[in-house]
Amino acid sequence: MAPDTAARATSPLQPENPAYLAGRARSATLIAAAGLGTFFALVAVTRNTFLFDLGRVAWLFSGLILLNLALAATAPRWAPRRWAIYAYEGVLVIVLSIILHRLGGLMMGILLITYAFPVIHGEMLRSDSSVFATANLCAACYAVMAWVEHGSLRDVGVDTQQQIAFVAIAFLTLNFLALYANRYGYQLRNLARHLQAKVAERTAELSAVNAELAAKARALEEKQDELKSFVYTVTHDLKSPLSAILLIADLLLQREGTGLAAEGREDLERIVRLAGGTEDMIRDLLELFRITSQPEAPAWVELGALVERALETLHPQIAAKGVRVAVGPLPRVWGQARKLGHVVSNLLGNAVKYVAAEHGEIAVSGAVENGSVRLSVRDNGIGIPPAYHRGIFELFGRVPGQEQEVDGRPVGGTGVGLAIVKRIVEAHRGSVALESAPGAGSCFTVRLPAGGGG
Amino acid sequence: MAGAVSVLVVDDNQGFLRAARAVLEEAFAVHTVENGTDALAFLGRRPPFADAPRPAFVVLDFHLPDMDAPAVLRELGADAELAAIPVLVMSQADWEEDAAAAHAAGARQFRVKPSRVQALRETIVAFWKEHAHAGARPADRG
Repeated sequence: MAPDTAARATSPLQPENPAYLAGRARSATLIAAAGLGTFFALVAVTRNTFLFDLGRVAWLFSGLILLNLALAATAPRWAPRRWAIYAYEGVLVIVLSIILHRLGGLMMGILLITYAFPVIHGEMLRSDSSVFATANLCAACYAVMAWVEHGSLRDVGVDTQQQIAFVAIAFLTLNFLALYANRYGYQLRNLARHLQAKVAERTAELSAVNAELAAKARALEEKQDELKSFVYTVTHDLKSPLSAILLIADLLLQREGTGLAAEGREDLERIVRLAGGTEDMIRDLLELFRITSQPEAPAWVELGALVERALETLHPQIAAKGVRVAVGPLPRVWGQARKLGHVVSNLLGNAVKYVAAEHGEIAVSGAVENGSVRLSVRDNGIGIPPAYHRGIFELFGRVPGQEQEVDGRPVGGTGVGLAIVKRIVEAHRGSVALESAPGAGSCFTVRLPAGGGG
Repeated sequence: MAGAVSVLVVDDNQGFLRAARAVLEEAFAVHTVENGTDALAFLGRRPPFADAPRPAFVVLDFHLPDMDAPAVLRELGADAELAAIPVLVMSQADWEEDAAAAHAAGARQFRVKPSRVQALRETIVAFWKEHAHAGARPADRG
């Protein structure tokens, strides 16, 4: 939906909009019915005090109330027509005047006030010149009443000049009332309309932004699907033939190995080793994708429990190398437990891998510092030359095998573990830092927002 | 190989079939097909596999050209006799969703395809011992 269409659709307060006029007419006629009902009840209650003859007005009251109810029900049909408004107001004022006359007419001087209601009511119905027409009709009815009741008024000592003055005051008062009602009513309605328009505008803006976000989410989903099919391609079309090559080369080596010359055998072994290394890289690449792309709800994660679990898994290697591991008290953090588990097990796995047998020491510590959670894994292993401090966090980034030997042997690996660590930590809006030098051990420090970062 | 235990290997990778055959032929009568439709025809003894033996177990690749392993397994599950044949599903990737789908469809085991001969032999023999050996008869039982 285009924004301007949305604005039009969400604003019910358009000037001269038939639906809007009908709504106003419906509430005005319902209020009139209620007002007449109240008026009638008041008359009934006070009939003994003022000696009202209820029988002469009851059917007029009920007729007017029924008329208003009928008009409320059919508002959409007549409300947009200006003449209908005039006719309705005319009938209302004249019948009301007859009721007033029958209730005692100008003998009850206070009845002038009653005419205020049709005027205000007229404004509720439609804020235009019809309000003044209603006011002057009211004043005219008042004048007619004065003329009809001329004799009885003179009997109580109100002479003709005073009667004319009363009628003039009635004209003036009712016209001023119409003016005020129209002016303030107009201003209030304008204000309401302005506010409604603003709301509609903002709603349109919001729905435009929402539509944009939805489009972006869809695009992202498509990308995700694309990525998944890419990963499937890598798995199936790349890894599958490679593992078949490996199997066949291995088969050949086992079957013919003993019969081959040393050189041929070495070459065959080299094929198996190289293809195996590439297969490991594909496997770890898939692992990286799998771990980092799996949706997982965040929760409070006890880092101590993650470390304990990782150490359990690593126990065979730790025991074989005689590594001493010290774990200090660790805080908890808001995050994705499985992904953070991969962070912890990667860091600990590396530490175990790069310490020397029988001399290895690993210290795990943590704390809450300046609103972030720190987790450090320190080892006394071979250390990492500063030149590689940045590169080892990149995919397939590793220190070359000949530069890192533990116990006289190069350390194997594909260089994906720390890339997984960095990606997961950064997805948690944290950071990972490294302090290390050759021969001085390494210390990896992960910092995560204590309250979670997303 | 009359008298030997029959095994059906379903995989679209010729290299894998070649290796599996070499590894398994020492102990089993090996039959191979390259897609899910043929696998179902073989097991259901429909043409062109009308006189196929009933294998003691099946090694089934997860991703076949025409269907995936769970689809094949669901078809087998519809037939009480075929459903009893133990199936080892093998895949290139150790994905939990795939493993769960395979198990839900009736696979006895889900394993990542080994790419060394020794590991492949061990995986399949271990499966055979665990799931197929007890009830296995010679290949001509059916």
